[in-house]
Amino acid sequence: MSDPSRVRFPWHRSAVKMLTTVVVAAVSLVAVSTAVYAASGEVDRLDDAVFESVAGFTTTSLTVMDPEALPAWLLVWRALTQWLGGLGALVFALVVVPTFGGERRLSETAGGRGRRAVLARRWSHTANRVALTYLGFTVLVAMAYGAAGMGAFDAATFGLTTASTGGFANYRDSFAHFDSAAIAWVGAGAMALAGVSAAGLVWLVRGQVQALWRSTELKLYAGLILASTALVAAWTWTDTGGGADTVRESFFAVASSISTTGFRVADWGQWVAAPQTLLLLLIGVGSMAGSAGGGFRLLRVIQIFGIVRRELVLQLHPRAVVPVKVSGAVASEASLARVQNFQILWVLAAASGVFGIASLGGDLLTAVSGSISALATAGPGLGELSGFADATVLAAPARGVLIALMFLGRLSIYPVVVVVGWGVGEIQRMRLR
Amino acid sequence: MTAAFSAAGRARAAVKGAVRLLVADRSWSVTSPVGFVVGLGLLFMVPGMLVAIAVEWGSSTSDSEVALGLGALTTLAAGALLVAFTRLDPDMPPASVFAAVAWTWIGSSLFGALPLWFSGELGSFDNALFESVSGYTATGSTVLSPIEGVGRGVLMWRQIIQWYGGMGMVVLAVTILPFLGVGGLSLISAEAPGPTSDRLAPRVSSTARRLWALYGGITAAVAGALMIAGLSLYDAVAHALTTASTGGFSPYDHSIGHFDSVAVEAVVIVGMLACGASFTLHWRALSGNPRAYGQSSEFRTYLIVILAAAAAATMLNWLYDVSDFSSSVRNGIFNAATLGTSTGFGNASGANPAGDFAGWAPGAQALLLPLMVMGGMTGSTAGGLKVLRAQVMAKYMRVGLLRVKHPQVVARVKLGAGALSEPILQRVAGLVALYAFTAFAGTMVLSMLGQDLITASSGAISALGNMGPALGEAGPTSNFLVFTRPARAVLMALMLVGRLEFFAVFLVVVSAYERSRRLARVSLRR
Repeated sequence: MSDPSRVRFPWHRSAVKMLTTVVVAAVSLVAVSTAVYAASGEVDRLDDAVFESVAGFTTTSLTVMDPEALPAWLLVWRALTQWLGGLGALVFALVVVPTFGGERRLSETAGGRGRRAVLARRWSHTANRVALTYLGFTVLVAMAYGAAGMGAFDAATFGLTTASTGGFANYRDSFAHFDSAAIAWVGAGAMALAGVSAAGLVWLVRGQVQALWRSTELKLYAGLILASTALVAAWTWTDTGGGADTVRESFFAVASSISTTGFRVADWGQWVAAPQTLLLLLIGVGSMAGSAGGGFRLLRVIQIFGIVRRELVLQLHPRAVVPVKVSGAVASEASLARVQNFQILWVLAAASGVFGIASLGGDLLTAVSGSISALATAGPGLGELSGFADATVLAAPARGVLIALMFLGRLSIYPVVVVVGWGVGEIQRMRLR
Repeated sequence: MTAAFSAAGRARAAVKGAVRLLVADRSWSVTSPVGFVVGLGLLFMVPGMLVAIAVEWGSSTSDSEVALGLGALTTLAAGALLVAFTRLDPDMPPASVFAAVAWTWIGSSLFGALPLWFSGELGSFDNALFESVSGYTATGSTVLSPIEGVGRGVLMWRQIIQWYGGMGMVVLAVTILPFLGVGGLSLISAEAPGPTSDRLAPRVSSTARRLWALYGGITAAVAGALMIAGLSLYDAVAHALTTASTGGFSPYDHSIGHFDSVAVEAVVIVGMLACGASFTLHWRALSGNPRAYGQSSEFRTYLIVILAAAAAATMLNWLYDVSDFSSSVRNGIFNAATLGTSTGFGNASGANPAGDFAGWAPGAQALLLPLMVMGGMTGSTAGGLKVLRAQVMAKYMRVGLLRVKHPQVVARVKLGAGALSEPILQRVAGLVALYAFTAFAGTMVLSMLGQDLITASSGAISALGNMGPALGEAGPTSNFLVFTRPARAVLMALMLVGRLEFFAVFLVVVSAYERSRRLARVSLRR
């Protein structure tokens, strides 16, 4: 290990095996959860059980069940699937994604390079520390909910689904059920924190302001939340009465969107067009890399911004050497190429999702917003999916498209495509024999 | 006889002297390539304005000859002044080439709006400007409502604007610039930063002239075919001009739907498909190599994508009972062709309501958006991202997946005979990213100005791709007055940015910023 910041993966030389492991693990978790739902007798159809399981493990808030009719143990199971999904996403983001998604080095996601690295250099230690941070964060959120006035059961389950940016609620009208300003503030703050990368959370806890300030991504994340909250509040000021209520509802909607959690406290389908578009854009952009949230990820947005800027400068000064920097460090060309590839895959998946949903019975607005939202593993959309609507507004075939999108989005597309491509190749080879 | 001869001789000598004064001895002029190119562009518009005046003069329903004449005079004066008092820089830096391209478009749009404004048919100046920008960028979105009441000369000027805009004022200027001793190839690449820079001839001037001949020939052929299909001379020419430019303006509210004729639609479809395809390819095929079409993978992809979209839209509309099978086929093919080539004609009418894709099955509408993003082939008059870029990105993606599987693999993106170098791939990917960013920003701003998500996003994509109609409230039978005045200004900016393929416009901004920073630094030192 000549470069101490380079993480050595046990499966470094065989990406297909690693990605296959990930996909197989995800599928088997879904299968187990499907069996649990089917055994509970609360679902009538097998595809509903699959949908609920996929939504759980992908930390998407889309549901096909009426949570208020479910027994308590099943509510806990639902919340637990999301929590496990969030944990899996964190480990996945820190250990697997760097092999194809962005920097191979953990400098960005793990925070700092070399000796400054917050998270361990060995992947197993990384996974352990991430799990501990995540557990601690979950407990803190649950305690904060309790302090804000939630019952113990609700505080525990909502803690699980908040920390994981999942968004399953125990009530049909999500956070509006509590009708409490304190709970909504806690929820919004917790969601905003859940979209921060694990390394960022560690910095926050340790009070390492310098490290926080160095991270372009964290600054962008905080700035986006503040600016979007201000904009949404300004746009909805007159319609929602103004004052602290409007600010809280705006902050809640923004935090829920950018962290791709999907809790709702107000029906933003009733608002004017501008905040709706902004919230959908935030869902698409998503949270920080190395968090449990989904979406395109801010880190990639920053890198693509850098690429675009470099192209413009190169047009003017063709022989200039323009590095693309993220948080002060120069991003490698290979990582930039991977980000560009990911961008194409993401847009392609979203467009296919729009076509799929629209062809199978959703209107265009529902299809566009539903596809982006499912791919970002958020949940709320526009059109038929706006307000407190659940996934049952769409017909079963269209929900099948949502399942595929959630799965693709959670696994960052690559593993699924590579494994499917590998599978197809194997079958062809078998036929040749 | 000798007297007449000598008079003619003297006149010729006088003209020669004047030309020499303007072209050769230019010691009093200012070195401003941008001003010179813009001036040339304006002078080129004057013949078109004269044609519009002639049409107006021949028509009995309206008399806007004076307004059109005034517009022509102003343009002539401004163009002549600019050409007289500025001169080219023998070695133009790339930045000013880009600036010249961008400003030619902006200047032409401003002066092209004058006849429309003077005629009083469009009300305020900003509406005239919208119509003119939409024309020069070959977009085809209109704020005229209703179109039918407007005089023929003004309407013909709109069509002519698009004809000019379609091929590109840059190509027009390129036919002149080489005579003045400036290589204009950089201008072509500035207008279309595509991965290939096919040249038809070693000299730019002959390249441009050949493109011109081809463009004129296609326009004439479409006009002739439309007349055979039963249109009057005026209708045939008007629609041929905007078919060849893949613009999509029509002197009728219902666009091509006004004629409700399958024959006319078939002619227009063929014309649009021809002009959404590469002109280089056409030239090769016409100069004795008809197999060039089959050899171009971009041409194959272009046709396959449009046909597949047409087939899928047909099936979806038929399955969801939007219309019966035969009219689903007709509307599917027409609209896939009109959006796949970024033209934007409509074929909806009272007799054929299902031509309006705003009423199609949602799945079929969802197909139209990617079609609008993709646009036509490189080297055509169409807008959008261009098929070649989509192809390159698809191949780039496959290589990327291969690299995930085998991190040490040496894989290259092949296109045709050769492999694309990494810088070219980066350039294509950079443009795609820029396209996406601009589309998102446009969607956000339009929706801030009051439009719903579908209208805002499709409006932004349509303006960026120089399409014309959008989805939602701005469908093909609607009108861009549904957008508020500030939103229309945003759309104008998007059209220009899209037509100049981003870099020209953004670089003008970037270089202005750099210049101001340099100035600030100098003043600080003092």
